[in-house]
Amino acid sequence: MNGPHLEETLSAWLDDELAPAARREAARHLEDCAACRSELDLVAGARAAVRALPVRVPPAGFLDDLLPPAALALRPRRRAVWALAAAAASAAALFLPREPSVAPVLPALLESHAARASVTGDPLSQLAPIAVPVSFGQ
Amino acid sequence: MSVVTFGRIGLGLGVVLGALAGAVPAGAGEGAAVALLERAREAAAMETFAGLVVVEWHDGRRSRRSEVPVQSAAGVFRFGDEVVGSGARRLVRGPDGWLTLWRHDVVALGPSPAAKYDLSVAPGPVVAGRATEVVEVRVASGTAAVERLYVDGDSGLILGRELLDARGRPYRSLRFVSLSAGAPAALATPARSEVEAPVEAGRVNAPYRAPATLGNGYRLVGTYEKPHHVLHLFYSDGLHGLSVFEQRGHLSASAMPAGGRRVELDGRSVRTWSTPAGETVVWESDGVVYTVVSDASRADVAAAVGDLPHSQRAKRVRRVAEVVVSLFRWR
Repeated sequence: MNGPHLEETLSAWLDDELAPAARREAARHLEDCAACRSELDLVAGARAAVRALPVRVPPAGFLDDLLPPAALALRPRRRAVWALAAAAASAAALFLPREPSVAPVLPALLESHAARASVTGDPLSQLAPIAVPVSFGQ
Repeated sequence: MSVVTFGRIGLGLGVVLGALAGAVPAGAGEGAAVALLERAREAAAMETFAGLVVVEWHDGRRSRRSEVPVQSAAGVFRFGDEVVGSGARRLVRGPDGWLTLWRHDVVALGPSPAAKYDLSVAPGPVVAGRATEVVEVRVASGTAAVERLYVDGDSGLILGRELLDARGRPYRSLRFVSLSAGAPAALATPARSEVEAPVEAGRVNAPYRAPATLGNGYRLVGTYEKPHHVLHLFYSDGLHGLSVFEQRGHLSASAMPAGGRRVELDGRSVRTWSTPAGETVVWESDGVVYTVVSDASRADVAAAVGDLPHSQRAKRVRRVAEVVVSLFRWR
């Protein structure tokens, strides 16, 4: 597999927004990475499904209540797009996780592990390594 | 270095086992190996010594090496200026002073290493000027050794320990390069410390999980709750420890330290860091962030990770939501 997974780059791939070099690199990665190919299929499928949805005309007054005055100055088609975007974003927000972001403090967890392990294991070989000044990320 | 006589501060099981170990013939079996390992645990707490330990490890990119001064006297051992142990207390120096990370005895010792490994004892090399016996650890009889422990024939201390790759090369090791009796008469434990020791956890409720066994013979021997609602599960195979930390939330990959590697373990995407203390693996599954830390072999860590939940569902839903929103950029 070439490099890290594509993740957000997949959207840009589908949009044909990648620079030529980045597109070549992404293509090489996709050739080797089954996980990213699967992810690409999922994203492409979701986009096709949403595009296949019928267009609904909002009831009278819906936009007036939803959008600020400045937005009402936009052309009708643009207003409809904005309304749909807002509705989609709201729907998407329902699916978005609400738990907090977590970044485990790895040095502290290593120390916790060594402390526990050294109580029932060999204290010398368990504790000496955590006295080594290791900076993650170097 | 001349042979030195260690000051013993106590007699008991260690001495009895030591006498037994002293009679270990070349190529002795599991019983002798288990006795040596038991004796080493006792010896570390009873002997009086000072020495220098070299720690070497491979972080996935290059080999690294560091030295740690070690002292032990009257049941207190000290590693550099960073780590202190006394009885069941374990303290580390944090940015704002000493932290107590552990402070109570543990009754459940875990399984015997002989239940999982094929252990043998043979005469070892001289380490730090002292004759050793080497405990060779194999996954099965007749296979290549996966680990070696070098035990001082006199004091019973483990003077060296190395984990071996498939070609028999150490990828994580430590070894005394000097060792002598006559450490300071007493080593002080920090008078004040902030306590961050975990407490025993009761029943584990969803979304947390606590499998009774993991991977290649690891048995759950302790369930603890740390500050900030972190669940700490401790597993043992009798020779190594494996900790699973579970935190509710979503992994903030951008806030994780650099230097880790993104790898596929059995088709599962995780981030790993190799440190002198062992392997660390982090991933998220269904709203829980899992961190596995272990001094075991990489193969054992991978097997344990494979037994823990690993779902991409939340990530995929988020990705689909992002796509839905991004659709409107093109209209």
